[in-house]
Amino acid sequence: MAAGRVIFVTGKGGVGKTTITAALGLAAAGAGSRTLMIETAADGSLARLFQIEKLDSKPCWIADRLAAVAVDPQHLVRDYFSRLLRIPLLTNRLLDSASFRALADAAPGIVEFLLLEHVSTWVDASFWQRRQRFDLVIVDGPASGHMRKLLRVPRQLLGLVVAGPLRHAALHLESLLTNPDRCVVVPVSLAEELAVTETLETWAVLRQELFLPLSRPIINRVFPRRFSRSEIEKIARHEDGGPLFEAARYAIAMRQEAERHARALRRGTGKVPALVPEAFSGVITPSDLCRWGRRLLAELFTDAGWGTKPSGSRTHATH
Amino acid sequence: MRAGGRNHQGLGPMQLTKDSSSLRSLHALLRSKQLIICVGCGGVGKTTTAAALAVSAALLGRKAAVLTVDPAQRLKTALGLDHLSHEPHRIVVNGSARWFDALALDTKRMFDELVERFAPGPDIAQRIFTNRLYRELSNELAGSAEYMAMEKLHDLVWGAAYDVLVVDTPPSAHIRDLLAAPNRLLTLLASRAVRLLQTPGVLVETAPSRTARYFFRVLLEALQRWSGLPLLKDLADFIGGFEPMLQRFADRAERTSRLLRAEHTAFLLVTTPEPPTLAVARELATELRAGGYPIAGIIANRVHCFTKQERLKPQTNDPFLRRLWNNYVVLAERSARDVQALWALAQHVDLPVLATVPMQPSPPTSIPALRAMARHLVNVPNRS
Repeated sequence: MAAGRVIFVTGKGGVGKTTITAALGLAAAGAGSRTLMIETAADGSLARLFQIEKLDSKPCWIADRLAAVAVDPQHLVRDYFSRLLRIPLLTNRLLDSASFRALADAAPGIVEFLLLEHVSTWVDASFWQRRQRFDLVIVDGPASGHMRKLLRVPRQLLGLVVAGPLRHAALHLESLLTNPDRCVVVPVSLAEELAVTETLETWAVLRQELFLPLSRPIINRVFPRRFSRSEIEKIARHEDGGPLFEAARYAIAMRQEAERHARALRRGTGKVPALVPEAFSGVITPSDLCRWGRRLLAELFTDAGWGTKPSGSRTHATH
Repeated sequence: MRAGGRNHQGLGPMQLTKDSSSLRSLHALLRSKQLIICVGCGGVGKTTTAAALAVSAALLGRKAAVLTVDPAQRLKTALGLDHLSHEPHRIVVNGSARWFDALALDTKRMFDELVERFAPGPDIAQRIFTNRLYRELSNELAGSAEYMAMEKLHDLVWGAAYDVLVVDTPPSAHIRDLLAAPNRLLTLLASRAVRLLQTPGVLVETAPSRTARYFFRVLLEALQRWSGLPLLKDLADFIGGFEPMLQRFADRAERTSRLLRAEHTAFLLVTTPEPPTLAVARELATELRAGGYPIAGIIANRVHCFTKQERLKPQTNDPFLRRLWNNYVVLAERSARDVQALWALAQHVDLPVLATVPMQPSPPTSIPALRAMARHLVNVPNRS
């Protein structure tokens, strides 16, 4: 069976990473891929979106071919060391010692390393036999600052660790992350100055420093275009036309702002951003998510050569 | 039409707060408190709010400073600056008498400064500085940004002559990660893990039985093989280097922790009316209360402020007027939902909404724009 693929969804806090994760997940599963969404934030936002009480470390099936898990750092540490040591008595003794807990809490990069390791176990063909395998894993990643740190860990480890299984694991992760046929980072932004700046900064680090494959950026919650050009001129002529014109001017300003930011992102990344509209009703329905997801999958990955079905019969990509 | 025209300028605290006392209370807060800490979910505008609060404080005639601990340097953008550093940058708001200082936390530099200040001798400081792990990771060691934020606070409150210090907090998942960071890191540095790393034999020698000793030996070998020896040794060296300074670090941590609960400190919960950020706000309020930290109230940011008025409905079937009306209705309904959601939050956490800042197409990126935002926070006169 072909090795599965990984999507890391990232962006500044509050841009809607979870919504995008869910949309991509629903669409990919709908297109036939066995898909797993991984929630990394402790706030349970992915669970909330699907109206599930709480996700845990066992895949919870949400729809046909679509499952979700949550990762808990404590659990990752325990899980990893029990696999590494294979002797339960030893493992428990070690993990229950206060010293070990204090160390694992603060040791640089341990949790990040284990998170990547965890992600890879879901997609690696027969890496850990006892696990279920998925065609596609979508990581609802941490905010971009933390994401940069996370994705830098394998490289950092390679600099620090000169030999042994840890180096081997770091090499393995590095080769997964930098392989454009298997991994892509999806940067999510809003049509806001700060979000765009942060997206461009993240883009620079991931692309130019870490050489990671990136999809075109997504701009979430874009204000829809409400008025034609001639109407915009007409509205501009009514200086003080009352609340209706006030609201229209606001809508026009919001849309122009969104378009301006889309241009900035395009200039900065060299790729045309994919736009997801603002849901004014305040409620995002599964059918909204599915619709956006299908469009995003098509828009994001055709240029990456992934097609709309991110795994399956394709065995080798050529470019 | 005048009233309608004002509409988008903000509903102020209307609908959310019963009287003008809350308006006065943010005013009073800026006049009486020494330390104001903005907490909230990432992306709600904490940094901008903190900057606008500093502007307000300056306009009220206080010597104010705003500290950002956000590595993304949003404060720089909000203030319209090219450069913002570890050192105070003076910003004139209005004439020469109304100013505030802006600072950005530099985790690495703060760590270096502390090591330099507290190391018993230059050789020990040097030993830490040259440690490979310290060089690579003093920026990224879990909790070090949070820890250094608290240390900078300590310095600013005790060292510099400000009347009021406004701080925005890093986007930690949990506020306790921030507030407990000093203790957490110190606990690690003082823990048995350190001795263990330096002399791994300890674990083996103190094991209760011969079997246990055997197991521990196997385990240690496995661990060292796993990590590669130099990493473990570097880590031991790094942590060991801090040992002689631990007491002084601990004293500061203790003082900082008391400062956060002091009478002159106020936490402000910044939120937008979006459901996810409201959920975070609710959790933050609970966590802060449980920790005994004083929360003064809520600042609602990016609130849609259009009130629906049926009388404006066009009587003709003109398609342009229809479109204007439809757009207006969507925004008005959104505004009603925003207000409703904020009201529910205020009820749930039993805190007043101290200010409502209307949604703007673009956030403030200059001092005049921050002054406009400040007007929604406190009723400061626009003249000097």
